[in-house]
This record gives sequence, C-alpha cells and structure tokens, in this order.
Amino acid sequence: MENLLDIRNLKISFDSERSRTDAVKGISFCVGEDEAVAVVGESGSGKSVTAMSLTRLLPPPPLCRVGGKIIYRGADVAEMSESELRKIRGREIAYIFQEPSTSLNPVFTVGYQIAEAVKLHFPENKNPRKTVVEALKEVGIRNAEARYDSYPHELSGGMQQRVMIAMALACRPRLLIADEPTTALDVTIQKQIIELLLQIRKSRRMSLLLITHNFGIISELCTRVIVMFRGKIVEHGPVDEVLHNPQNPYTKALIACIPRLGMREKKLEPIDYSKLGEV
Amino acid sequence: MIKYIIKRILEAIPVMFVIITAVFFMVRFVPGGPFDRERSASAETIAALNAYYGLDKPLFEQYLGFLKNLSRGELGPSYKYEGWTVNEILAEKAAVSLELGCAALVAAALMGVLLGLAAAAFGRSAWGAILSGLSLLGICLPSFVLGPLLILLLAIKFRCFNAVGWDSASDIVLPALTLALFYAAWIARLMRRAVSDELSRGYVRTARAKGLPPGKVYFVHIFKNAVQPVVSYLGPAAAGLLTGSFVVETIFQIPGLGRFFVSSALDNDYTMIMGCVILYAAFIIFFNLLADIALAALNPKVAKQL
Repeated sequence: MENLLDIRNLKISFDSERSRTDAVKGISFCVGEDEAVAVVGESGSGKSVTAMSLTRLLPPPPLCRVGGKIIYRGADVAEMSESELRKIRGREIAYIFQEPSTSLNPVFTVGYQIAEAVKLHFPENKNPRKTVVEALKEVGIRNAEARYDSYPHELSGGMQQRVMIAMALACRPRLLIADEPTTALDVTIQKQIIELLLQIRKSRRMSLLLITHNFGIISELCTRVIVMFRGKIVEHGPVDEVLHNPQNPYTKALIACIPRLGMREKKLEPIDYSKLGEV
Repeated sequence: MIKYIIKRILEAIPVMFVIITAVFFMVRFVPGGPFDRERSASAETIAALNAYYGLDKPLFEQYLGFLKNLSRGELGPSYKYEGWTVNEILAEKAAVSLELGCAALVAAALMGVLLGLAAAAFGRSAWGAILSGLSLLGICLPSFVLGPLLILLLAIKFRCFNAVGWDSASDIVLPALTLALFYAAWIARLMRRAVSDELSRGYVRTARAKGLPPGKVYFVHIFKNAVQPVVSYLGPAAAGLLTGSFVVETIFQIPGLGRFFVSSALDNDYTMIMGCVILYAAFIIFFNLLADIALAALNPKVAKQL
C-alpha cells in the first residue's frame, strides 16, 4: 500500500547570525491511509518543527533549512510551488495547534474564520455557512447556528479548540496534524477533546499525526508511536509494545513520568539526562 | 453603542465646565487688560471701556455673566476686533482650520499606514532601513523647516502650487502636507511595529496553515489587528493637528483660527481666548470619541467593554 506521507531522512536546522541549531537530525517515518501515528517527545525534541515542515510552514531559508525528503501522496513537498502548496494546506493536510486562544484571530468571528477555509478550497460551494454550521455541530458545539457569529474570546478554551477542529475538518482533509491539542486545556476538557478526536477518527477515513509530550493520551488514539529525543527518533513501534516494553532508556524515563492513580508512595521522578548518555 | 456615545457626551460636560472655569480665572490673573495696548487712550477712556464691557464688576459676577451668555451660545464681543462678536470670528476662521486639520489627518493616516505596511513588508532589508530612516527624519523635521522647504521645492522651483495664500482649491496641499508629515511618520512607525509584532502571532500560523495566500494573511488577518494602535492614536493626533496649526497657518498665510488663538492670548482678548479654548476642547473630545468608536468597530473585545 502506498503511504499517505513518507518522510525520509528529514533534517531541519535554524541559522542565526551567530549560531546554527540542528532541530531535527535525520528522521524517517511514514503515515499510512487511515492510520493514527503519535510523535512523542519533550519540548525541544523537534516534534513540532517536524509537523510544521510537512507543509513548509517554517520560515524560508536562510533562516531555516529543511533537508531530506517529504513525500505526500507520491509528490515531493519541497518541489511544490507556493500555489500547489496552498492547495495542500488546509485541504489535504489540516492542523490543530496547542493554544486555541492564540490560534484564532481575535477580531473575526469563528464562523468567518472557518468559512474562509471553505470558500478558499471549495469555491463552488453555494452555501459555505451551512457547511460551517455542520462542522461546528460535528465537533459538538451546541447552538452552532448562533455560535457562527461569536468571537473567539466569547468561547471557553475547550470550545475554541473545538472550533479549531471544526476549521480543520470543514475541508475534509486526508491528514490531520494535531500539535499538542490538549496541552493548554483543563484535564476534564482534555478528555473531551480526545474523545472527540477518537469519534472523528471512527466516523471518517482520515489519518492522524498526533504530536504530544504526554504518553498518557496516545494509547486511546494511536496505533503506532515514534519517540523523539534531541532531534532523533529513539524508538519506533506499535503503541502497546512501546508502552509495556520500552527498549530505549529515554522512553523508559518518559513512561515513568506518566502519573497514575495510587502512586502516592512513589514520587514522580524527573528525567536524569546524565544517565541517558548518547541515545 | 448609542448608550455609550450618550454617556461619553454627558461625561464631556463636567470636563468642559472645569476647562472653562480654569481658563476663565487663569487669563484674568495675567497682568494687564484688553485695552492696555490702545496707546492713545487715557485712563478715563480705559475705565469707560471697562465699564462698558462690564469688566469693572467683581470677577465672580463676570464669571456668572459669562456662563449665562454661554448657556445661550453667546461668547460675547471681541475686545480687540471692534464690532465683531467672538461667535462671528470663530464661525469664519474655525472652518478654515478644521478643513486644514482634517485634510492633514486623512493624509497622515493614509501615508502613515501605507508606509508602515511597506516598511514591515521589507523587514530588515535595505528598503526597510531606508523607510525607517525616512520616518525618523519626518519626526525630527519641524514644520517651520519643512514648510519653507516644500514652498521652495514645489512652489518656487517646480511651480506646482501657490507659495502662500488660501484662494484656490490646491492651496490646501502644501500646508496640509507640512502639518501631516510628522504624524504620518509617527503612524508609519506605529504601524510597522504593530505589523511585525502581529507576524509572530498564532493566528497568522493558522491562517497560513489553512492555505490562505500571503496577501490575505497580510491585508485581512494582520491588518485588522495591527491598525488598532494607529486608530487609537488618531484621537490625540487630531488634537495635535488642530491646535498645532498656528505655525503652518503663519508660514502659508492662511486665515485660520491658530493665529487668532495666539494673538488673542497676547492681547488679553478674554472672550476670544475663551471661545478658542472651548472650541478646541470640543474638537479634541469629539475626535477622541470618534477614535474610540472606530476602535470598537474594529475590536469586538473593546466593543464589549463599552
């Protein structure tokens, strides 16, 4: 089966006048049709820039250089023109970001912001408002018709993230990239958002690339997991296997950080990087 | 919104009252009187003049009389320009100053916003540096230098405009430009700063991630956020343009209010000073209100607080 997304030896570096930072140091993985893959790692492991690089959302060279190959449905993303890319962004590959409150423009209604994507990718759609209201209903926003004209600040954080998801879904993408979709939200809201993503995964044939630092949320959503540390993949495999039988010391340390009920006796251990060595 | 406008107008009444009272007593405490400069007048004549205009009465009684006239919209006779009431002078001159001020305000806003957008788009390139340098020059160049420079260049060398005067329609161009340039430069800097601040916001990433072309990201999403500090600045800028027109009116020989305002203070022309102060204060309050309403129209969060 042809993979939806194939990443081969991806390298990303940021150049400033004085220094050069290698954020991603040659990683390879793929995402299949209708597959959910998680990328797990701590802040600075390069997981978010990897997500951004997939549709070339990173700053252009010389600020940022991307090497290796990103193949989306057989086409090299690096060789696409800007207008070809814009047909992929939002339409084929959609994003949800970490901070819903800053990811929405404060001076436009949420309906306008979703409709903008619909009008852009489906100019033949005679009634974009209807499409938007349906998308809002699908992500569980009550009173969707009235919410169309709400401004982002009139909604709670959880509702804002639902709006972001509705924006991503409204154009029926093949791949949804969720970059820390629950990190900025309360625990109870986190659970609702995960359940929503799960339900969407069931109702649509859509691939998911979930980026998170939290091992706790991936087992429900994803089948495969990639563990990243300092720009490299340190472990890669089915979620159950990695969770229950981690091979890499960093993965073990990361899994030990998941808080569980009844672990009052044993304190959560911070990761001791000196013991990890060169992973 | 209408409730808010009414509230702001009601709030302006005590402000105006304090301004009127303070200025009324302040000008009276300045040594000298309105008729001191009449060289030929004897002491008896001045006393007769003072008695004629009621200036010999106790100060507080004069104040009450002034308020009583003001409540009917009467500002009283000018002490300097015989036979003219202050109302007549204001009506004739204020229109000129207002026309000049509004033209300068519109020019400043347009030039400033466009230059700021361009400077932000060029970023740190050579063009960006040139635009920043120009806007700094615009801020530093005083109008008494800029005005004559424009006259020299556009009126005398290239003969596009009349050097001075207020006769043909094109006569507004040079003074308005002179008046506007400082504010245009300031607005350009505000705009450039705001745009580069907005560029790193999350919603810009969202807009690009959904496939919007750069023009739409820039002129729809970023613009509506970045123009807000400029709109808030337009209120104070309007005040500055109206009250600051004295130098420009003098350079270009324009029969506006600025010259009357300054000469009335020098002449102790009490009623004229009061008339100018009241009019300017009303303009300033009005333009600030207008700027706040425009800001509320742009930003729903601000509108909610109204």
